[in-house]
Amino acid sequence: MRGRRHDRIAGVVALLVASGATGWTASQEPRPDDGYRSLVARYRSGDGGAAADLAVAVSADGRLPPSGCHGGGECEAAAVLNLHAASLLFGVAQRDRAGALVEATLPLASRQSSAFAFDWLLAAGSLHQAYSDHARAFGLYAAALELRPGDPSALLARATALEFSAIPDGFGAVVVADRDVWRLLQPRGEPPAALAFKLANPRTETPYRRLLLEFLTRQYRNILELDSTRTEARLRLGRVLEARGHRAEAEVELRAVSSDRDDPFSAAVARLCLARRETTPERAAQAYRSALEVDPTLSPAWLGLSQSLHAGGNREGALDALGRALSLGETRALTAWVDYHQGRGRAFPEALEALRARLTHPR
Amino acid sequence: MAASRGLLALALLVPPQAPGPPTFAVGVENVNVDVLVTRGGRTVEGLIAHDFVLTDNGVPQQVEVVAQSGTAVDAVLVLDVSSSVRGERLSALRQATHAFVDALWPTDSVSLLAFATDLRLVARAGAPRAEVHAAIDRLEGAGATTLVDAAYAALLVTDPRRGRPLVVIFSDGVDRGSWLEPETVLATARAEDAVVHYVEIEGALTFLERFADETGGRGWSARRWDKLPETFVEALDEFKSRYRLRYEPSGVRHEGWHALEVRLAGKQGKVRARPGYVVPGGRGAR
Repeated sequence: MRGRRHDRIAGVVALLVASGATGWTASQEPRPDDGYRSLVARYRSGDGGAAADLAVAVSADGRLPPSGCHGGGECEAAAVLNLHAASLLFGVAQRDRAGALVEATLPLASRQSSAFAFDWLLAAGSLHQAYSDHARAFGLYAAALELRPGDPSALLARATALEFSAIPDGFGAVVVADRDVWRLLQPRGEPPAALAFKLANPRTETPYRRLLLEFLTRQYRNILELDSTRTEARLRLGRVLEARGHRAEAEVELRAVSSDRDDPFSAAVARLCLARRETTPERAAQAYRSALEVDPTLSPAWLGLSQSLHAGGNREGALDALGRALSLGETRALTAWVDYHQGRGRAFPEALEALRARLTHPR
Repeated sequence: MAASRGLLALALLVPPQAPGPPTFAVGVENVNVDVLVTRGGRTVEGLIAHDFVLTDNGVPQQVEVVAQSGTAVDAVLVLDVSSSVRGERLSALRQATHAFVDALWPTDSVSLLAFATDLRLVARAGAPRAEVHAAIDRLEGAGATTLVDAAYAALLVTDPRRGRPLVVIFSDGVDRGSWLEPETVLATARAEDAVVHYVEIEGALTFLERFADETGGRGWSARRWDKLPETFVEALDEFKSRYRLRYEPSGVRHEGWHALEVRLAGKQGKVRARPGYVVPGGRGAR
């Protein structure tokens, strides 16, 4: 069973490596190294500084650390340590080295227990998403779904990665796993010959864009059927429906989220989205005020209010609202909003902590 | 141009702040239009009101030329300090901003609006120049690029009571994270006074091109980071060489879209001015 599972994940890993357009070095079969193993031992004992030391070592000479291990929990610790170090490298803009470290660790992580591999893959995906590499995150989530088909968390993660990997961001965002993505969107159809080009230009490729939005609608609905409390899925469903022009259906979902007391952030964002639908400045201003009632630190709502007031001829009020937005600075709500807006995962720190806790308190 | 504010309502009634721009004898709603006249790539100087033909929604208007020299500028510098602007790039941006501030006259005012994930007014108009320079030195690069939101904010930060409104935007990237939609911000630009220039390093930025066009401004390509300081100063100098035409609209409806056309009467030269303006409240918005 484990062999079959490993084969499937290995296929995804190979796809990720083969499709790498960033120049990351491909992984080589590593061998244990005493220095590295002592870092792993420190990390297992709860010393988070080991990750920083590893990141410095990777950063200094550009070589990947050996990730060999002898079992008994050492391999899991090595996989988590590498992921942690990769996050530190991402944090200092060493994207290539960080990506290479994640990539080199994939085979190691996928050989561990199913539960560990699943959590590690989701964590690694959320790390890539935190740095807007949705295409690679998509591959990792797809690998996680090989382990647990139908898992709502993995389905939601894969759907958001796909949604944002396909949206051109001005830097030529491209769907990496092109044929796999196409088969996901249209299982019965044959991918067109010039697929790579078409997927690389989703803005101009209407059929692809249409298929993607239809797929996302099905995915988010499916997730909600599995777990109706997934507010983020409902919010994203509302926005996808809006993008498809299904305004009435979108409004139903957005209104449902806008009154969700358990998730004030999503409620405020849903109210923002509802405000943008309004056709008169007065009604839009009212809707933005409603979002601010939920979260007065959400500066996009102040900006929206300002713009609505300006459009209505109330420049004085527009200036006041702008002043509120400028005075807020980078609030938690704003960071969360930008992450949400760009489809970036917010889950990595929590996912890493859960993996680390597992090292000291194995299940 | 002055639509919502420049003259249509307030600017004339509120005493200028000290040190402020020259005061003008105006009694009713007026419109200001900043106009650049060039011939063979050089600015044409010495033109008088009779040299200009200006139509507002096709109706010829009687214009006056506000003194070209000595008129204070109210500049808002909008600086992209997202994560792509770090290290040597940030140093170059700081140098360019210092150079811009140094090139201003003592009577000019300057505000600095930095944008990344959030928007920050790091120096307010009226702040002593030493404080402005200190604020420039404190700039750090990190976060997303909320260019469209920053463009909107800059329009409102300008104030024609302080001088001729100029917005200079620097960005090296594409918007990632703004809430406001480009179209709504373009609509705001049509109702505000400011001329918008933008400075970029390589490649035109679609939104900024349209944004500048709506205001009669233009783009400036530095091509290289070390060329940023001179590019910033060139943008300022060009603005200062513009004519400021003023007229009291007659024969046209007050609210809505006003298409402007400015040309020279019997003289050679290329004229750049905003294509029009909106007075909010009408149905004429484009």
